[in-house]
Amino acid sequence: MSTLRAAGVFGLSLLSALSLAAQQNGKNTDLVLQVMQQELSRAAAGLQKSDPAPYFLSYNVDDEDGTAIAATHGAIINSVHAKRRLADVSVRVGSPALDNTHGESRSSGNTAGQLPVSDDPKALGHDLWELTDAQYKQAARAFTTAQSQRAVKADEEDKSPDFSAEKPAEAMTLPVNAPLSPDVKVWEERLRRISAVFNQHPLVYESGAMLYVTNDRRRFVSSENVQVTSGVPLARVFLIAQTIADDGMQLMRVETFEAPALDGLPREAALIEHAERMAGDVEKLRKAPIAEPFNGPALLSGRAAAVFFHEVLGHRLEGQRQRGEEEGQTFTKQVGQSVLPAFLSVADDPTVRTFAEVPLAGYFAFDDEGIPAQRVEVIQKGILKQFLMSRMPVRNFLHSNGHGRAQAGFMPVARQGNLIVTSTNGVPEKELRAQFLAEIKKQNKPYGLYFEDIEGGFTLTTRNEPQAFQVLPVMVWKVYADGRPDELVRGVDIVGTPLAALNRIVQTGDKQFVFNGLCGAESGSVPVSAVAPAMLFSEIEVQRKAQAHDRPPILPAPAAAGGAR
Amino acid sequence: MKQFATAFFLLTATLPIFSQVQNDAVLGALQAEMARSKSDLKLLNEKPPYYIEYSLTDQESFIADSSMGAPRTELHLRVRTLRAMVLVGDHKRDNSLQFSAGAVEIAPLDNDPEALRQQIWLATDKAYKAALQQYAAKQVMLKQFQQEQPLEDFSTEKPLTEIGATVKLDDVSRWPADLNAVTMIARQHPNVLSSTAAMRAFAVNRYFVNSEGSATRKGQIVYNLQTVATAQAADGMRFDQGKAYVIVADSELPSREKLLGDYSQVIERVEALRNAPMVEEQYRGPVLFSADATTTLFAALVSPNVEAKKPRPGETGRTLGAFASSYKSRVLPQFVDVRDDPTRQTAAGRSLAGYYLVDDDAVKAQAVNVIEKGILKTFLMSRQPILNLPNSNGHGRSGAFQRASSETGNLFISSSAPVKTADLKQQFLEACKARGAEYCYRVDSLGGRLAPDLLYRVYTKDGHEELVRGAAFEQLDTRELRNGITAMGDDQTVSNFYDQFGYSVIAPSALFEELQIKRSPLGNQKLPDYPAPAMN
Repeated sequence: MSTLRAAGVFGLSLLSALSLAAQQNGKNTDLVLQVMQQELSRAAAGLQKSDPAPYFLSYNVDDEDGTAIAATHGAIINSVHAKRRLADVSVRVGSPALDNTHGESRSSGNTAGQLPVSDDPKALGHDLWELTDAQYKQAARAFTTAQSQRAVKADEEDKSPDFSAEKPAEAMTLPVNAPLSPDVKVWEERLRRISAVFNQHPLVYESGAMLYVTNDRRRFVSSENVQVTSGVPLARVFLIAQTIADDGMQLMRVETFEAPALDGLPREAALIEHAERMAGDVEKLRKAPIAEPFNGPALLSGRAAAVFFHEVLGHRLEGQRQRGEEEGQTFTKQVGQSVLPAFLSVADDPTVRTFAEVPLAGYFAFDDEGIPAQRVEVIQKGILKQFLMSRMPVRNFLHSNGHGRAQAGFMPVARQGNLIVTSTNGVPEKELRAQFLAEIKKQNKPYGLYFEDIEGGFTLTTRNEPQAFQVLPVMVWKVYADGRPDELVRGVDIVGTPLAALNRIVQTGDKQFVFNGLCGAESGSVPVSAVAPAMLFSEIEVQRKAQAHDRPPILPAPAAAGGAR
Repeated sequence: MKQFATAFFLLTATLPIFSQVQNDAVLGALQAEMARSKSDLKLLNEKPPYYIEYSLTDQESFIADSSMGAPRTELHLRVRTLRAMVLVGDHKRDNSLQFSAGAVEIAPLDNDPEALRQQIWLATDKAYKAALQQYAAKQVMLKQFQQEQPLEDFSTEKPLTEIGATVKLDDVSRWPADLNAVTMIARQHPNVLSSTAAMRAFAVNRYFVNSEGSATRKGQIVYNLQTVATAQAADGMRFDQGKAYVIVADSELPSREKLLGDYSQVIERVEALRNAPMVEEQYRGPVLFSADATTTLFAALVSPNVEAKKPRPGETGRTLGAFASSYKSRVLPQFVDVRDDPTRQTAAGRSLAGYYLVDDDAVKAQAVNVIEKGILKTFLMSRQPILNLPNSNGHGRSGAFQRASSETGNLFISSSAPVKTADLKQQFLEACKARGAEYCYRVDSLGGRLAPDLLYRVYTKDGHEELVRGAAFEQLDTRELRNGITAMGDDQTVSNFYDQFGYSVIAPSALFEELQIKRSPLGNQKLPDYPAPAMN
């Protein structure tokens, strides 16, 4: 019944969009947006009598403008500026209850292509038309498949509609921040100097310093009369240092710095200091002993805990993971139940720009389906309350909460933005370490593991794979019960099943830390943040990292072999 | 444009060359690491390298695209790619397999010796380790096959030092506006569904050194400009028409007026195709190929088959492709000769894309008579020998990421009895009349899969022509070339190609006594579900 009503609402809005869009054209000063509206209206009218008829249309146009400069060993290796304009055209045919994106046909919801970079209304309109016509044809074909599959298949577990009904939103024009324009010559010189730090470290084999500046501007219009524009420039510096241990183990340190403006990035002296420290870390790691398989107390730094939560918990809270026939659905039937210790709460809040003065990479004001981003309290006091939702409904969660995200060219699905873990059981760092030592002693272990930094990880959420996760710790220390100094070890992988691991958190720090990164999944790569305090686990399981067998280079580095200058 | 490739000069390895190599930061860094690798590179009890080569490709690219009168892309970039290849074993039997290219690293753009050498060192190390693994795997693989193959894996050639001029892209600023002016024409033609123009301009400088003492440097500039217009007939059949310009001399670049004129013709053709009658279900009879269509035909059917590509161990045949067992046999009519001459800089008034003096193995380019009087005499050779052909003839070429292999340079197709164009057409019409046919077919240009791009009926009564659409050849392969061509014209025409490196095919028009034409098996596409916006 509700789906029928939803269909009616959609049908109506598609028609009303025509007149509303026409009204809006008058007051629009953004020519690209005007053309998008015009073409959307033309498409809605032109396809209205087609069979099957579209019930939803949207255009997402991304102006991408980026600068990349990379240096290694004191020399520029790449320096390029590029811009392009990409369009994602979505057409849905059938009805929200069953449309062309059903099941495995999800990718039929979207056609992507390039648009002219100049604001030439005729060329823009033409290229949008070409993409829309192609997308309509794809949607119509996929809808036939979806109908026949539904007819022959046994009942699906989750009979939720394919597209959620949302309240029509007002047009939103978010501030488009002034684009960043790095002084290329100055930055080239700066990166040369920073990357030259590694010249003094012949055991650091591959290394580099990079600047990426993006000035992306997004425009969204839909047949539901939603219209949004936004632009968030971002500057990023990457530092990387890699080596190979004598036994062939690959060891790497990566540092990322992000800021909404160029002057928000660390100064050159600080970056040089970071590079020096990374080189030192990598050299220490080369010599560090390999960790033994271990099952016992562990302390995760805030950054490490943030990555851990993103991988282990965050991905499993994404709405579509509760629906796919292939999905493991770890949390699907746990709503209202305890999934974490009661002193922990988790929210995903894309609307936060900075946390303790650190800019958050997962900030956005509206998602890629034109829905305003919302703070979502996923877990309150340990109890699972809800999921992160795109416009793909799942049982009992029929609406989006503004988490439909995608890289240009992909169909949006629910993704994390800024995952924020808070604790009511926080203690100062010193006390946390004391408790860690006490826990080690209590368990009669000779040592526990302190995870200072985790580079990233991956998670398997599908059914036919074990419900496992793996994160990639880089800086891990043995903390001895007998008071010996901490000892750096290498080759550690955290393993285990998510639910079990999460319930072994016994205490946290009182300060939260930020991890900014890029997260890759079925809807492409999106920037995310995770924020968490340090955490003490009564038990964590580690295994030895799968061993690579690449020997370190046979000859010494040219610099070490007598210099090249 | 800086001086292009004409400044090659050949000297024996004396002091001037030495100092030139030393003065070039890239060659200097390559040689410094080469010296170190040659003397010291060896892993424990494993075999040391017996051959090492470094190939550094410095490619400057200018990319511009236009669609329907507006710019889509404009990009100027430069990348240096370093490839290190190490061979272990010996000339007779080494680690090389079909696709072993060595190791590739991005190299610094700055001529900073320390940074350059760091990347060369890393690539060399990876290439050597990969070579050892390949060598072991290949030994195992070869044990499966009984007879010891009598050919060597790698030929022995004289070292060569040749330092040519480097090149840079000249002012490319005209192109975005020119491309837009071209595609803007389509706005006046509502039947044109899409219109694009793309410029890819490259300045490629290649630096090469090997452990035998060779050192070469050469540069080439290539402009690759393509225009396309698409239309659809009322029954849904879609047509792409376009013009490709592959140009290696600035002086031969078309003016804007020329481009506009050419594109107007492209649009005329695509619009004419919409209303052209469909080809009949089946036709069998004489077909006349224009010189342009003949170059496409030979580029597809002869060029890849005269390139020596060593089969995998255990596979029979002298080489891969249609001429695998045709050595010393007739592969073309008796009056046809095929010669590949990379050292020719121009032909029929055009600069050739396949011009070079030293190949990518550092072997001097040679003119090779591949097919004489229709008989396949030899193959184009790199340093990877095939049966009976133990040496290179200077045809080893590659892109930035591959090892050099046998490739076409400038492939000249000629007839020992060339017929004047008018006479050839007369012969064609007479052959047609002799069959009592009302008309026969003339192929003006060939497209992908060797389907006619522009096909005309030529009426015997008065010689008038009528464009048709929807045609494909029933069978058009090397057998048809061998037996079907009855005469060739005197209108030698150049087609330049560029795909990682340039090559050219030069051929005259050709008359086939009998070919079969049928309707294209490709189905029609749906018409637009709603009309395009008004463009004018």
